[in-house]
Amino acid sequence: MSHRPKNTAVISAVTGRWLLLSIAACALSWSNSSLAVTHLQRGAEAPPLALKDRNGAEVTTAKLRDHVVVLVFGELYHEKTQQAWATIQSVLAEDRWTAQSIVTVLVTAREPREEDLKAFTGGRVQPTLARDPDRQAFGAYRVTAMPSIVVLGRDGRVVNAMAGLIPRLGDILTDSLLFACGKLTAEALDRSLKAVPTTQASEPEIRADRIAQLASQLARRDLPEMAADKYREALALNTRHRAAHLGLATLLLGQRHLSEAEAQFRAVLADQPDSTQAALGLAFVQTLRGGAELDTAEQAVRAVLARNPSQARAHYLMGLIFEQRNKPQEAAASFKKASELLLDRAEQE
Amino acid sequence: MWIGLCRWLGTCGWLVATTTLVSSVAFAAGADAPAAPPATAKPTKVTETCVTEVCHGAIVARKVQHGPSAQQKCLACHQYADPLAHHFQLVSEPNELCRKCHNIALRTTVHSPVAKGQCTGCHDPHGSDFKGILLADPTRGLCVTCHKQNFASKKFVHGPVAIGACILCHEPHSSWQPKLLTQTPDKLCVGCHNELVPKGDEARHVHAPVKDGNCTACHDAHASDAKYQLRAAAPALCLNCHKDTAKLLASSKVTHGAVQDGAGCAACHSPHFSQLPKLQRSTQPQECLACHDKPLKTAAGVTLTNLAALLKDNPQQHGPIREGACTACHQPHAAENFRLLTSEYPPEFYASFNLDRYALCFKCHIPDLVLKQQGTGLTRFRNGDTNLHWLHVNREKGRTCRACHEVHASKNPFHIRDSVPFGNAGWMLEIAYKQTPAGGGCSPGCHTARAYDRDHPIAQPSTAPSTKGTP
Repeated sequence: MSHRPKNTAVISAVTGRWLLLSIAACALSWSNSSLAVTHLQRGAEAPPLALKDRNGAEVTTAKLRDHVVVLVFGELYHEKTQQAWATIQSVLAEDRWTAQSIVTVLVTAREPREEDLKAFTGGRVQPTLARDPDRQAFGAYRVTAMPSIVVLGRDGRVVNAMAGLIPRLGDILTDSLLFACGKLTAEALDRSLKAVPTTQASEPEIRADRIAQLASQLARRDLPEMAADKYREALALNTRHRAAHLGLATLLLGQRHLSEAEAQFRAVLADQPDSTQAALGLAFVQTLRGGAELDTAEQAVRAVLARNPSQARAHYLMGLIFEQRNKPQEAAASFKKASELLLDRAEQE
Repeated sequence: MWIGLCRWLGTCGWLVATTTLVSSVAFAAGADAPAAPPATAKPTKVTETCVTEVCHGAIVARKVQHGPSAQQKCLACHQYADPLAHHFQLVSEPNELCRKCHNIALRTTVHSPVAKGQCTGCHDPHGSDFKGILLADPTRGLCVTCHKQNFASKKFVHGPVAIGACILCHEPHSSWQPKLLTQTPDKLCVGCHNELVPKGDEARHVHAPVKDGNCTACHDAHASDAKYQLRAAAPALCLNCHKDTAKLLASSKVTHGAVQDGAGCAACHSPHFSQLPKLQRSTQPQECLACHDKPLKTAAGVTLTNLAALLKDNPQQHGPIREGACTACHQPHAAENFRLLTSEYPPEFYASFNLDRYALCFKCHIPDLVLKQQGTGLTRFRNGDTNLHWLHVNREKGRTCRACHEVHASKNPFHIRDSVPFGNAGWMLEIAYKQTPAGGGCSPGCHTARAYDRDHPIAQPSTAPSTKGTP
């Protein structure tokens, strides 16, 4: 981790020019009607800083360039600042930042006392303490509440500005830092800031899913009648439950209830025409029926193999079709291919 | 038949053999119920078959048969002890016999009958009407013969329990897991309840028991009287672990109604995982507005405002609301202060100032905002560099923040109120705040019309506040 120890300067000389710029920015900011620090937009040039740390070293935005900066406006004695700092520390303690150059700067108006600083940092990550006795920096960043936190990118531009009191401080800070370190896209950061909830399935859909899972467990435990009942129960709740259709079809196929199995496979194909499992299941039904349906089955199996030549089950079905067509050599070759693929898969697993 | 039976028996075949053995002891003693003693004289020498109609024929009449029975190879398990008396004994000790054929490696947790070699506790050694030559239908009564818990008497029964499919979660013979579970606890439940595996950002905040795969910390795996087979209803269940909250609820003057009503904790918190801290179901203020979208009556009989409507009609909102932090001012569970405020704040309109009485506001707002008479970096409510907050608040009859600002939202900049109450008769005095590019002004009933300008201070009549009450 590349946090600056204590007040080690990242900063060199402060110039009168910076001071003037700071004051000008402060005055400018007052004329804007936006309220708190959160008016700072992502990508905007950060308002300039012209402060000094406890050792008299300068803390300026120019000196902070090439670092990702977590700028905290607050006071050491202030409970909410302490709480926010604890969150920041816990975020920065993660290993993921080891290779990053992240600098933390705490801007305070009051002169920090040594004991306050010790209690504040708890011996962990210590920020660069930048004094702002006249609250010029507070004004420039429009800090109306403490703590306020601004993350700056290596290019000195704002990544995110936030109130330190938000419940999601840790998560948003993490994502802001990830963005600043080039590990998160702007879209992903936006999604995170909005915290759009994942689309939840409806209660019947969830229930159908659970019952279908239960059915598959029952089938696995060789309780086919119970499994079939449960698959049907799941389908009553969600007529488009693919796994339930396929599970029930497989059970019905095992019991050689071909027409019912076919109906289930067709239900899946109606919803998902490129379902390999349903296509092969239907082809299996047609193969078992034989006769004129063998051509349809072969066509379907060949289509699957064209999409995925490594489909072991498709090769097996081709073997069955060849067998029915009285082509033992081709059948044997297909069965061999299927078994080889299965063995390969088993080895990989 | 033999092959079919073996397929069913799978890895547990040795048990059946053991069953055969034990049962054969009974058989030798003449207590073999299916094979009733023949009316004719018992044979006194080795015969071709034992399962003639008149002898032990019933053995092979079962739907599912043990391999040796099906093949009528009785001597695989039995041998003559006394041919003249037609007495038999098993070919080996009961706990060894089944294992001769059904030799399966036992895992760390072994079902008690298996450990004791009591295969016939569950299996009929000759045949039965149930798969695995079980003594009873495994889905209707076999397990509960010994495990006599009356799950049906509970209001909420786990799906597999309700259909008697104990073997979905428990191995019948042995397992690497405690309680003979078929999988490690973290994998077992999500085998069916896969919607409870957090995906993407949902995994950001996971309830500790879920993270540990310890579903049974909250749920009874079989049945309970609480919904979702919870071990108890919320909040009691949650407070078993969340002791600090329990303590807070027990000791505080004001309790959030949501904690005790309806879904309890689950009204605001997702019990499994969330992309939000504290497992919140949604971001604030939406989370709070899910209930506060109508006037609500508190336990004390006070009617709370419909906040959803208030925020909809008033776009100038207090920072914590804009930032999604209702909890910056309100305790979500319980508090000592009215309206669940996190710190002290005077409920009255006029109150002499000191930081402690206004602690709520100054948890976030910089105290210098009202403590310093001058300063350009403090506030925009300045006439030149005279801090007008300081001027209003630092009086013997100082104005509370609420005197000028709506605490949640208003239509005016800085959520300034439209009007202030006057007297007890319900009179309201308009503030009539107007913002200008460098300042603003108001003409309330409190004083004559005044204006301020940060850049070009406007001359004011002398109204220096007393310093009484100022820290």
